[in-house]
Amino acid sequence: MEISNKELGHGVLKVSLKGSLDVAGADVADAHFAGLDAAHQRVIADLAGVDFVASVGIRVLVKTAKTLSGRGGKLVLIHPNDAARRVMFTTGLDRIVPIAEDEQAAVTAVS
Amino acid sequence: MGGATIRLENDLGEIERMNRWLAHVHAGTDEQFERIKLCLNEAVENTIRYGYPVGGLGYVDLSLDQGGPCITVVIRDDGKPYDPLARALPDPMRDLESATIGGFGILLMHEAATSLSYAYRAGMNVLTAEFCPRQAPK
Repeated sequence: MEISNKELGHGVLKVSLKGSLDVAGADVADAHFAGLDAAHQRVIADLAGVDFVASVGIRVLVKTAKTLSGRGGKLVLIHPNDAARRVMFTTGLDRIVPIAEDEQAAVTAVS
Repeated sequence: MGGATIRLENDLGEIERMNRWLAHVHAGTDEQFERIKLCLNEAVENTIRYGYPVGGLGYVDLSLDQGGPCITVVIRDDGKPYDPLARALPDPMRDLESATIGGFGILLMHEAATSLSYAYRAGMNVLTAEFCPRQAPK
């Protein structure tokens, strides 16, 4: 799992993930999100590079969304592939974490 | 294709080797492959994480067979007897406040597989999953 951060301005951070949100990848993603500075309350997770999402990945996204919400912030997702969308639908993640169509819509949704 | 097998140790790091094996075998259509991968990741993670005492050694055997359009995967492990299908399925999450972190693996297994069955035979948990195509071939 490769992860990079990009400041989009106005306190919005885009976190781009590349790899699989399986057991190994989810551990890396969890550590990355947990290590974000508390100043980062509005986060966009770009999943364009994520080829697989298992329940451990859903767990990380829920945990991150809860943490950000507790700080008064928000997590928004963009670019999940079709298989990831099905996992999000089955678990209900898509009901509790917004999935925006693109980066601009995500910036609006997270603000 | 015929059958393919792999033996995994009860170490979570083995899931990466399992996924490489799956990618090499790549049975069925892309959508069948995605469903098999999801189901196996959930089932094997659950077995390795909860099926053995701390430090206890064990193994998980996987076999994959395609005799027709459907693919059958059998997961055998020598962990403690556990029927994952006897467990109540969680409801999908409805709001962030009440959402539980985790517990969705079994739900995803049911969603991914066409059918699931469990037996405990000769000291082994035996979980059989069938994956039939959901889309007509193009």
